[in-house]
Amino acid sequence: MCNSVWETVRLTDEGIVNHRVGPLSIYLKKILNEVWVAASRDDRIEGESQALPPDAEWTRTALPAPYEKFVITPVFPDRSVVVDTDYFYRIYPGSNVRVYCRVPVFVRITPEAKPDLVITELPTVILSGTWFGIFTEGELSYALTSTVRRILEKKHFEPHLIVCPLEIHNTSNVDLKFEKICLRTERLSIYKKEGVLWSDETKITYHSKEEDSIIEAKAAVPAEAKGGKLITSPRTPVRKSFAVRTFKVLRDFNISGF
Amino acid sequence: MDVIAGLLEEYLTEARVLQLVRITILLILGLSVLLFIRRAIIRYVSKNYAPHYGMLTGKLVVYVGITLLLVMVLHDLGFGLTPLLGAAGVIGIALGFASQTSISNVISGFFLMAEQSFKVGDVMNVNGNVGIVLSIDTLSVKLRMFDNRFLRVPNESMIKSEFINITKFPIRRVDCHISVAYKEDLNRVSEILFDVAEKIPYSLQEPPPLLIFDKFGSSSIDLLFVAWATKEDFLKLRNGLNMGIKERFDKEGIEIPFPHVSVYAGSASKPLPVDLLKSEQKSIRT
Repeated sequence: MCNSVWETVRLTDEGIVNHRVGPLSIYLKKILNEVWVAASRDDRIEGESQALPPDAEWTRTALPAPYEKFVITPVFPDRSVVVDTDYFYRIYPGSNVRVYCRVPVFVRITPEAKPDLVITELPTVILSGTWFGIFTEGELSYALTSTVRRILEKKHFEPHLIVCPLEIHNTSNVDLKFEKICLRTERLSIYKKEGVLWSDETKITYHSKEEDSIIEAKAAVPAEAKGGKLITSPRTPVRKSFAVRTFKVLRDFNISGF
Repeated sequence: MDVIAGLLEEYLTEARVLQLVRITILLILGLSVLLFIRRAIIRYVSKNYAPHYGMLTGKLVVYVGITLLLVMVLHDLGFGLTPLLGAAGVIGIALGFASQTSISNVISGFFLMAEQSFKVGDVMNVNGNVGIVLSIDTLSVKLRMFDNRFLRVPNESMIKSEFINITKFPIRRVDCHISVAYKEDLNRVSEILFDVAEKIPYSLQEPPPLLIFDKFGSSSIDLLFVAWATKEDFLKLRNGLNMGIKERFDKEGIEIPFPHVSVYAGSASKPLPVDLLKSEQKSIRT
C-alpha cells in the first residue's frame, strides 16, 4: 500500500507537479501567488501519473501569499452517499450485522501554512447523482454501487477508497429489507493506518418503518484500525446520534412517479 | 404681496413654527428609523428563512410604521384619534365603492401569501407566460420573463386562474419523445437510451429513467423516454439527452423516420412498382 499518496507537495514557479491518488492524476503549478490545478482520470489506481492531457482544464486560484508547500488530504464526498448493495438485503428482527463499504475519496488541496484555505476538492471517481427521498422532498446524494462486505481482505484496500464499517441493528419486530443505504458521510472522520483509510464506525438502529433510523457515529477509530491516526475531521460537527431516513427499497419510486 | 405677507405673518406664529419643526423632525427621524428597521428585518428574515418572507415582513413593517407616523403627525396637528377613525370609516366606504378592483387585488394578495403556492424566486407559468417571480405586492405579482420582459399579473387574476409553479419541487422530469423506424430492434434502442442517460452526469440514478412504448405511429414507433434531474439541472439534462440520443442514433444507424406513405394496391396484390427515372429519360404521361 502506497504511503506517499497523502503528502505535502512543493511547488516552484517553474514546472508542473504531477500527483496520483488512485485513478485521479492531479497537475499543479504555481505562478507567484497563483495556483493552477488540473486533473484527469484513468483506469489504473497506482503508478505514475497520467501525462498531462493537451486539453486539460486548469482552474486558477489567487492566494493571499505565494505559498510553496501544499498538503493533499483525503476528505469524504461533499454530499451523502447512497450505497446500492448489489443484492436485496434482509435482516431479521433482533439481528445485527457488521458490514464494510468502500467510498471513493475527494482530494483536498490546501497550503501547508494555511490549512483552512481550501484551494479545491477533486473527486477521485466521478459519482453519479441520485435522489434520496420522495418526489416532493429529499436530498441530492451521490450514487455508489458497492458489495457491502462482511469480511475484508487485503486486496480490498485501495489508496483512494475509505473503508466505512457499519453496524446495522434491527430492533423492530419486522424484517428490515433494503437495497440502498444512505451514508451520512459529512459526519464521519477519516483515519489512516498503514496507508489504509478508515472512517468512524457507524451504528444504525432500525426501529420501525414509520420511524427514521437512529444513527450513531462513534467518533473513534474502529477496532480494525486501532492505533490509526486521525487525518480529517468531519465536514459537519458530530452529534452523538441523530434520526434520519437511511434505508431504501427500490419500490419507493414506482409508477406513481410517472 | 402685502396681503400674502400679512397672511403668512398671521399664520406663522411662534407656536405654529415650533409645531412644524417638531413634525418635520418627527417625520425625518421616524422615516429614517423605519427604513433602518425595515432593512435590518429584511436582512435577518431573508438570511434565516427565505427572501420571500423577508420581503413580506419588510412591507408589513413599512405599512405599520407609516400608519403610526401618520397618526402621530395628525395628533400633533390637533386631530383626535376618534374623529379620525370615524372619518376613516366614512372614507373607507366611499373608497371601497370606488376601488372595488384594487381592494379585491389587495385581499387576493393576502390569500396568495397565506396559500404559499409560490414564493419570490420561483419559476412560474402563468397563462403560458414563463418567468421568475420578482415580488408579490399588494396589488400584483411581478415576474421577469426569460426574454427579459416584465410581466405584471393582478393578484385577483392569480387567484382566479391556474398557474404552474415549475420549481416548487426539488426534482423535475425530462420527457423525450422519440420516434424510430419500424425496422429497428426496440431492445437495442432501449439499451442505447438508458446508456445515453447513464452517461449524462445531470441524470439522476433515482428516480430511474423510464422507457414507455407510446404508440404505433403512422410512420414510426413512438416512444417516450423520461429521466430525472434536479430543478437546477433540468435544462442541461434536456439538452444533453436530446443531443446525446441523436448522436448515438446516428452512430448506431438507428433511423429516426420522417412522415412517409407507402402505397399498396391491396393485400392480395404486390405493391405498385415504382422506378426512379434518370434525368435524360423522358417520363411518359398517360
